Amino acid sequence: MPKYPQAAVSIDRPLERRRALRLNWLLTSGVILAVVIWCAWGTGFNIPKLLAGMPALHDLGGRMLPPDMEVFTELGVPTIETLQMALLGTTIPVFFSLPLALLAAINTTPNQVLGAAIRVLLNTLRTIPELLWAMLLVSAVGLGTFPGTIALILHTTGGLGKFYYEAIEAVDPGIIEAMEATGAGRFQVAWFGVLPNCFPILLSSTLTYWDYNNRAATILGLVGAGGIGLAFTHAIQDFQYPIAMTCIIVIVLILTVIDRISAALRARVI
Amino acid sequence: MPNLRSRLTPTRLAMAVGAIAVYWWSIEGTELSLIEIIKGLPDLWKLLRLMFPPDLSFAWQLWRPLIETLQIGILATFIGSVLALPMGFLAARNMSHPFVYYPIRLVLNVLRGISELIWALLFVVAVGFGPFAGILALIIFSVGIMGKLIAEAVEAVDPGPLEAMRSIGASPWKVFLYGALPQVLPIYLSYALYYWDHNTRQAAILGFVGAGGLGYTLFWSISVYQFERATTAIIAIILLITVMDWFCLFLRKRII
Repeated sequence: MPKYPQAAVSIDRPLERRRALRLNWLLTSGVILAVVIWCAWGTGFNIPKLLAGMPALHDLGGRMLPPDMEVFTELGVPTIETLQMALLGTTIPVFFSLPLALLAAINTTPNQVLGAAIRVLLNTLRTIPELLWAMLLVSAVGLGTFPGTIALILHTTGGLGKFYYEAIEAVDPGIIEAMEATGAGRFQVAWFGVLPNCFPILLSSTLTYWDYNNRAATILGLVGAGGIGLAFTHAIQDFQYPIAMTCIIVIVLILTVIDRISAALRARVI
Repeated sequence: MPNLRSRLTPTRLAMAVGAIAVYWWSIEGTELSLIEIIKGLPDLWKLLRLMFPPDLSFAWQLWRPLIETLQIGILATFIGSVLALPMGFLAARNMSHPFVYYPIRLVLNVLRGISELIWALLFVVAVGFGPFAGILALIIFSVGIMGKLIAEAVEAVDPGPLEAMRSIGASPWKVFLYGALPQVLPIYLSYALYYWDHNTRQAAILGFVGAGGLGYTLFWSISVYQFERATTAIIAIILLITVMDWFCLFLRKRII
């Protein structure tokens, strides 16, 4: 029998199926619309309120402009603090996440129960937002960059740990088996077999977190944990809106530059 | 054994010294030290003693903020993704004119360059406390980030169908509605789901600056030193984030 190419689209779709699809589509959009209306009703979000808020927004915008460029140089210290928090908050966790991930990954863990327990620990650390860690630590040890850095370290240890153990679990099992067959110990398998194989992924997820932590570090100050966010919050609390505007400009600058650097680094390592 | 001496080039040595200097400087700058950590431990212990056991009788009072958080997340994602779609098309190089896409791209960059929390604080200052400010902040940020992602997806569509439609005289509007939109629809839905998860997560903490939801309850409990209640709110936030994480992953697997 000769083989004819299959038609890409079946034109003679039965009428019932089309009706069913249309009904399905109508039902789905109806449910979504109902949920959205319920949400708008519950949160008091409506068009008149939006329109009524416009003058207030315009007023705030007017008071924030022009930005106060005199304070630009004074923002150097908080900017550096922000960058330092992000750097330490990303690189210190690497030393915790890597061993924990090796203990957590199904294919390298010495004990499956221990592995599961560490996975739960890493996921808990990751689930709690860094801002929440920061708020708790600020209420325990006081204001400053110290609680902010610890908050980033805690959240990142969980997040990087998860990325790492997923990368380790994706390593070709043949490599591990081959090394074990030659009599390599657990540490040797991990160090010379598993890690070199997933090194690019590990590096790339660490870069992702560095990017993320810079963004996080700019807002940690909103709960008192230092950096440029603290300068911004102080400016808002003192009604010095032009200074707040300068802080926003600095934040956007920091994030744009970091974004470029991490994209360049990523292109080099992968 | 690899020869250590041949690996230790002057450039590498300089880089290592530079890295150590940067770290030293960062550790000094952030006052991060083991001594500080050990000195902080008693304070942390004191806080934990205040936080435990959690006041579970407070849980029933958390229903309203919990629902409010969910509502903020849903509403912001819905409005944000609806607004992001035209923005994404206008910002795509293959769909619009340079006079349109450069300004739109700039606007999108500014919208997502500023974090949700900063938008939220600005909106709280302008329109007052409550979920309204939080929704506005999340909409703004979602439009910025989803608009950019949609534009990238639109730029990557197969140009064949678009050209075919143009050649038979379809208007630009029809080209994008019937030529490009069907191609990006799965990606669009997957982004919408991803940002639903993200926005719910953010809605849970936006309250720290007064923008409603569970975060506001938590912030309030901590400000009045009711730490047992704060623990209950934290448990609620963790549960919410975990459930959303699973749910969105489940939906994304079904769509793609």
